[in-house]
Amino acid sequence: MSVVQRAADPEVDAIGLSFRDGDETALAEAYRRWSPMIYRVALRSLGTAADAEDVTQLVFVAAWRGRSGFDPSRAALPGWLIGITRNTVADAHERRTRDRKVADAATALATQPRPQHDMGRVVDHVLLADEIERLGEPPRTLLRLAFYEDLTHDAIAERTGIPLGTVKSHIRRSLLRLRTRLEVDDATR
Amino acid sequence: MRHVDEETLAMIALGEDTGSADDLAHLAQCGECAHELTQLRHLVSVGKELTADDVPSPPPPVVWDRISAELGLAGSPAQPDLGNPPDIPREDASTSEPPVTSPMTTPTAAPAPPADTSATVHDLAARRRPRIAGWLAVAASAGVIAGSLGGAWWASNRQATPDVTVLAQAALEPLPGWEATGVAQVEQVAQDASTRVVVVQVTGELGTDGYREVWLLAADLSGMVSLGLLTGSSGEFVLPDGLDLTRYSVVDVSEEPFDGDAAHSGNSIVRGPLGA
Ligand SMILES: [Zn+2]
Repeated sequence: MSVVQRAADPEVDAIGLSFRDGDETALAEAYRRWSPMIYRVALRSLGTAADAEDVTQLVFVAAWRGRSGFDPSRAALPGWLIGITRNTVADAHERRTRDRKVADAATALATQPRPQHDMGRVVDHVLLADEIERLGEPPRTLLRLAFYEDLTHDAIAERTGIPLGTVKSHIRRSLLRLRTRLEVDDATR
Repeated sequence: MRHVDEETLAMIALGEDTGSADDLAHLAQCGECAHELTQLRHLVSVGKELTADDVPSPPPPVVWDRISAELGLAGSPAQPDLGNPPDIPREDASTSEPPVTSPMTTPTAAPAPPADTSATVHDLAARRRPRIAGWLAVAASAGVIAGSLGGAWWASNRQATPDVTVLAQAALEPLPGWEATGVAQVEQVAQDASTRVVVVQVTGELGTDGYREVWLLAADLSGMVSLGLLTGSSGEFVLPDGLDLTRYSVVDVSEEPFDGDAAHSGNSIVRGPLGA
């Protein structure tokens, strides 16, 4: 994954440059912005809050120590962080598998949360949910009615009292905006 | 031949039986449009799989403390989540990730130095629109507005059940210039004790301009949470896990213009405090 958002975002770029140059406030800003995504990907993949916290810590520590390896011309900082997250989560899965060989298999089966092993899918879901959260109203509700209540555009217009043309353009724009999240991820898998 | 327009493609991707004969004929032979439709269909199928568990939420504050300690950060840069109690992770999801990471968000939510809201605490109640709008803009720029939360998105997936406990309720009174009243209830379903739902019902004149949005406000106006769009005269909104109702204790329904601004318009129709 090269970037989390396709369109160049000068502010994100600036954080990336400062981060690479060792500015601790850029680390704090990166944490503020992107730790929720990283934490959620880890939580969905591994299933426990403790593991997700560990992964989040490992990712930011590794990113900071390895910041000289971050090339802003190749990736935006959030995309680079998600890449580190993928590796860290994969390591955690491997460690678990090793541990399980030692542990009583039956107990492990009974007590382990069911994690999602398909990282690409987890990342897709979290990035998409993140983007939907950012849509604001009314686009978010209009999309929800289309996605989760399977309403037609006509029915949505009727239900909300929002003109059909407005409903159509909101939903079209929301889908196009959401698609950039998936495309980006697909391109780098 | 002209390509199929984006709105038609979006509707087809969502499963609607639409598009003219010309559109369908074009789709059958235009690789570009067919590719576009395939991508949109993929997006729709992934989107329909989402649950509230997919929504980003900040890790507990201790994680930053550990990172800071492990790296021996000299200046110990302030963690933006410091004011955030660890027991309400979801509440902070959007404030901790300013929308500026997204290319299309409004600039009003950009991070800014913390605002002093104490001087304007009573403005919202007074509904003096210009000043209210000013306060809201300040609050938004300070990241105070929590924004809408994941839970509200999947409210429709909640299973209907008669086994409901009312945790709190509010009588909604009209603000000056409006003739509407309403009630709101916070409900908990016995089968799913972790889920709280706000049920809002409004009667009277709700206006026809723009759209209506339901909010929870902090009584001291130090924050607000958008629960979602009110369509018709009633709606149900799932509260995010851990949202503190003693803090966000006022139910508010506002009229919002189609201006692309996610912040509260300052134009409230009805409002009321939650009580037992
Ligand atoms: Zn075409």
